[in-house]
Amino acid sequence: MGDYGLKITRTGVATTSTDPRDYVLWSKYKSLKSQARVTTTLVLIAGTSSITKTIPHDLGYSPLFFVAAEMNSNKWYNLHAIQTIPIDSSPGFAYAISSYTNSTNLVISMSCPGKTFATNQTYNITYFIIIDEIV
Amino acid sequence: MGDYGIKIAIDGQDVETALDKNLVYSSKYNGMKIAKHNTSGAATVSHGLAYVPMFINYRRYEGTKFRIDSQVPDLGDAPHVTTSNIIFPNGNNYYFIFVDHAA
Repeated sequence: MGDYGLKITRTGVATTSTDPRDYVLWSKYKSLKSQARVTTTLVLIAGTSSITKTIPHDLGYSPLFFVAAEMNSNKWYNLHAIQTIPIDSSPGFAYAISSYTNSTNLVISMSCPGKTFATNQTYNITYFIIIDEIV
Repeated sequence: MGDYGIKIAIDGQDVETALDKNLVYSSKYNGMKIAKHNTSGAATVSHGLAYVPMFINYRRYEGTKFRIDSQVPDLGDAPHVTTSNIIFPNGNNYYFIFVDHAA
């Protein structure tokens, strides 16, 4: 990049700084760009113990993403790793939940081994698709 | 958004024709904004926001290795966030709380 661009520093730091950490925005570096926040639900059908939700993103490449789920009341968990989350209403049982993206979808998979519910269980999901690509 | 805003293309690309993913910056998109970046042991930490924020947490293990969230095999609950706190059931946490909200 030539001697042009846009730089915005944190309060109290001069734009002569050469440390990228001092910048709120520096056009020398890409910033992660997020689509609008989306809320949805994951519904585990009564009598079953697993569910997979497939959410199309239409980007044509695998994007970065952030996703969180309310797996217990007012307790939100990240789904970036393969998570094992105790089921507060059923001590001794746990949800196994994970997520991934590919070139077409964000996919969230959840199971609760050895456990079923008498009624449908609905979990709130919030996700952000980052349009910057993993690959 | 109408036909206005700020776009910055990567070096060598025409800002008028570059794909969005090739932009350094576009005001068409949200930037995930960090409200707090800190470390914590096993603890309940007030995040000071009036809603449930998005967060990301890395845990340090074997001295210098970092894994996202709860991939470190511990017993008990996984890190999670409520309307008032972020809860770390286990230690060695390096976390980012975003301004952007989950609920």
